[in-house]
Amino acid sequence: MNMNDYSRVTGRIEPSERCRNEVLKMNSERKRKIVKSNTGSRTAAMAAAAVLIAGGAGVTGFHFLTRGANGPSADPEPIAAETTEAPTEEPTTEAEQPTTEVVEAEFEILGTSLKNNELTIDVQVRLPEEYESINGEMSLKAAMEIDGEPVGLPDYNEEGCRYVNFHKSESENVWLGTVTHYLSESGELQGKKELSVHLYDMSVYSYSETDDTSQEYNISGDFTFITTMEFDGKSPVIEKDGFEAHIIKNTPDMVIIGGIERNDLETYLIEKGWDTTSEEYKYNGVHPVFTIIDENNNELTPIPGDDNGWLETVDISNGGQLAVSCYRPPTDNIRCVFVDKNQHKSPLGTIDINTAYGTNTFEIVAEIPINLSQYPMDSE
Amino acid sequence: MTNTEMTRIYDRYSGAVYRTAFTMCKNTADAEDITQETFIQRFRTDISFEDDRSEKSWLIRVAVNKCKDMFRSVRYKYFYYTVSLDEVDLIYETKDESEVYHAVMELPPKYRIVIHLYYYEGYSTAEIGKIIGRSETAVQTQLYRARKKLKDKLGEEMYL
Repeated sequence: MNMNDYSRVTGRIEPSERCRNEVLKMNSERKRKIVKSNTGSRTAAMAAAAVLIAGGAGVTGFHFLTRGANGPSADPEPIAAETTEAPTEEPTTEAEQPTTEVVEAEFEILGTSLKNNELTIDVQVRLPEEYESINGEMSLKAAMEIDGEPVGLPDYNEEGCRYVNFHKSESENVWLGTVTHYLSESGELQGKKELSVHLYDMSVYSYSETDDTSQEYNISGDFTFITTMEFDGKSPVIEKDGFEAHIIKNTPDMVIIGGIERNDLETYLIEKGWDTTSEEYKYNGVHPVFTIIDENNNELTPIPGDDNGWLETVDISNGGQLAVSCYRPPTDNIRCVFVDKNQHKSPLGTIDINTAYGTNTFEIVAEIPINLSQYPMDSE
Repeated sequence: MTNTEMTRIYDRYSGAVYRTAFTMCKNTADAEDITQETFIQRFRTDISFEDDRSEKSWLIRVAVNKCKDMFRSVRYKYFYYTVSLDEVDLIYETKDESEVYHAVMELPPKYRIVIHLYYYEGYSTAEIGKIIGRSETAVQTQLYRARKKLKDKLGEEMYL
């Protein structure tokens, strides 16, 4: 028994053909196309709007989970559900695609939840019975708006949406999936707001290992679901200049603050390069890191971690560990301070931080003030 | 970048990137998402490498950081401790393979990744430090602790 056992098992793991297809397809900027090649019984180009259930049966099971006093509640009655008619004829984009077929689908919102600014929507997509033999994952794009403003970072591409994979359920022609968005608006989210969920560019990619063939089925139409949400508390997420502070836990004894840097990862990868040996890049990592200080500029005392994951004590050398558990300071005013490990003459000045390498001076790239008294106290 | 070049890069390094992501995420869906995002970033980044090993290290580093990003998400903050190993694509030919693999995958992610990069990818502790953004000393410490945990878990039969 040795590590070769681990290596042998690991060596047998391969990404799926679907993964390869997704990567190369997304980057070749090919137009999405219908590639179902069955030209037998369904050769005529068909147009059909997606059948929406959101206004009827789909809403039956629709509910929000509220976050109690601090959380938003939701209007249980959806305002509207809309569909965009599919084009009457799908364009054939390549010569080897002689026929096209549009697949109808029924959509249903199974439920939503909102906790700590993570909004999740469970969606069911049902294809007609004649497609029940299709196996594979359904991919789609999802976008969300609150009062007409796009929400969600940082998992989104430049189009303001994200790709989501739905998995086929035990039922023959039903795919289930969850669309997750993070509500990262700064400050408070108060009052009734309109939530719009938009699903589009849906397709099912099917791969057969037996004959090494793949097919893709496009689903016609878009799906838009609109409802309202009532926000009656303060967001536990404070955003400033691309940085976020999450008040994860707030008790009389301790606070857990999460800090997230939402800037483009590539900026750091490219700008900072690979140099980790010279003094300038001594603390090189992809992310800036942060610490929590009280109003006297003293770092809060971190609570030792249990060594079971990334959520440990403040450790500047940990390449971007951004969740910190600290003993609660005597006063409520604290600041979440993000520092740049690579030192670029920040106008915000510097801060001395105790690190694994001793006390070092770092340049401040962002500061987020937090008044803990403005956030409800957690029970434990 | 041409489609041919993208295909070449993907086919050459996707296995290493995916295996690294799977080691950290323990499930196929997240590992494939990480793999996709890693290569999308690679294709959109105008960067040249001295050799294949540098390019592979760069890709693995991006994948590791994307995994960390994911762990920082609210979803993972609250639930990742409960993520169980996705066994669908795993094949064990011996009992030892199963026991060792499960023991590794039960380690905390920071230990899993150094074990994976050291034993499977064959990187030195200095190289691993560059990949995961830690000092060589820190990597050596993590490797020591990881080995100790494996030894504690698997007993004297485990040869390290």
